Amino acid sequence: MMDCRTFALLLDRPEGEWTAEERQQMEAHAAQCAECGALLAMRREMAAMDAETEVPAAFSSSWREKVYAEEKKMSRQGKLFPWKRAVAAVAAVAVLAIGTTASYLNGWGLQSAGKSADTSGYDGGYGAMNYAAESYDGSPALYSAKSASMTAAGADWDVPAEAAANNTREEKIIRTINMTIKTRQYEADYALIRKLTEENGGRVESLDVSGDGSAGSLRRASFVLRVPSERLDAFIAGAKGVGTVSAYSESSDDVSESYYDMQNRLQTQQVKMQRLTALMEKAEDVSDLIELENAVSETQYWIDYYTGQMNGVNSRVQDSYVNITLRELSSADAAETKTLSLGERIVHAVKASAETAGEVLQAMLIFLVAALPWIAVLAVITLVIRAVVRKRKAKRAAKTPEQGDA
Amino acid sequence: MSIFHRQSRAERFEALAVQHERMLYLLCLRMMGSREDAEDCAQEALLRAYRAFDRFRGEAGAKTWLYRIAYNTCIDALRKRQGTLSLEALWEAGFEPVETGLPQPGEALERRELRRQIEQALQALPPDQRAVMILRDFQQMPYNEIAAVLELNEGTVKSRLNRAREKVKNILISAEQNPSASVQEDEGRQK
Repeated sequence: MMDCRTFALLLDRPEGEWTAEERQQMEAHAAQCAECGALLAMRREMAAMDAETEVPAAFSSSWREKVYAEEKKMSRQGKLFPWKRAVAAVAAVAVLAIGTTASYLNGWGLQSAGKSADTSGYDGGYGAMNYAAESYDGSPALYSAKSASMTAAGADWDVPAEAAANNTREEKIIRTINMTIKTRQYEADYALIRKLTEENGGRVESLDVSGDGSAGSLRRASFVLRVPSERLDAFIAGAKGVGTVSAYSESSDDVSESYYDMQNRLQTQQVKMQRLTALMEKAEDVSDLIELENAVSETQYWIDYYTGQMNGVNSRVQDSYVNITLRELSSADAAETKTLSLGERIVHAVKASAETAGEVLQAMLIFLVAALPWIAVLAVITLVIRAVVRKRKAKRAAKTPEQGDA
Repeated sequence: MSIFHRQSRAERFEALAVQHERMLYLLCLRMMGSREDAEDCAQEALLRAYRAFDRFRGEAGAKTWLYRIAYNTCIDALRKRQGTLSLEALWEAGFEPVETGLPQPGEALERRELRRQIEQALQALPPDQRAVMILRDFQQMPYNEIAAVLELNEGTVKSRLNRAREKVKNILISAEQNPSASVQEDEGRQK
């Protein structure tokens, strides 16, 4: 029989590292020793608390916004690339000249450079996706190999015991996709993401939208989507056609071992419950009944606990999380997009220059209109001063000949 | 052709940070005890990390580096909070610890109560002990990683964890024995 000291030593290790024998001994000791039982319950609850806590979508989008805003700020202050301003000034003049010439010679319209360029250029963007996935998430091949076995995940949602009895141990893999998509056609691509989600049987769990589409406030939508895992690959394939993917990561968490551990424990508690119920039917002594009721209550707690945990896992396995940030591109951003051809980028650069010039002219016009009342007042004052000065001059001129006559 | 484009600094940082945002948020949530403060702290931590991204060389590992920044940000925020309102005062003002991850209605009341007690007990711990407990007992982080995050040796991590567990256990036991007793009393007894 395990003692409290050994129990404490084992309890120090995460539960996932216990052997089946150790777990059995731990639970047997916890059932005997109230203090150790409370400790075990506390530790399990602590681990479950984090597992069941959702991260607010607003947080996910707001830190990204702040980081991108910081990047712009640092870029403006010249902290990121101190040499960039000088180069940019020279480059702007060159691009303006070359771009104007190129657009004349080739007759490229700005319309054709929009959506088709973004879509056809996707493969280039996907290169960056592969890089991100391989650098941080391990082998992407893992996902396709495992995706087939995930399709029927969740079939045992309400009857976990049956699945165990049939010995059909499907892998329980939680997949999470993170994508950042840049677009020049924000509204169309926003609608496309929603359509893709619906078509694949998914749903928008949360959505955070910011920006008004003006040059100083580009639009951004942060989607948290739940997409059925069997449709996830189709969804991703569809999402490849939306704008240009600038960042992509995919994580795959295999929770099979802990899931089936929980399933076994649930079965143990269910069997225990059956026995306790049978004993209660036979019990005649009131004190026995009270003790049995306490045991039933305790067992029911663990049945609820394991069922809740398994339902949570099944929900995450069945519907994958897809976090998509859709960012609207300015013309200047589009000019720097690697997936566009040189000519298209030049056209975007010219357009960006024209937009900036237009914004400056608009700002000047607004300033002039806003300053009109002051200009009117200044004009009146100037006219009055001018009239007074003229009058004085005329008086002086009139006096001078009089004095001469005298 | 690539002279006009390279993956921006923010994009590279985003690809790195997104791997850890959930656990960083949870660390801040348990450290601060409220959703609003956790969001503020986690955001501030990620912004600090972004500003220092150029100096990150990868020796410590991105996870350890981000966790350390998040922990330090929480400690700064807790110091500021200490200057404005004590935990006792917060409780007296009706402060309830964060209710994230609570069981759904219909699940055992005892479990809900246990989570509430754990949250309260956690907030009653000094921040250094609280951090060790969060990283080990909530996030199941190995001792060597905890030591790297908190820049301590493993022996110190273990002794802090033991003290934290003992305190939390005493608070929970006393709460069970006397459900009406407040955590403030438990905390006073611990001191």
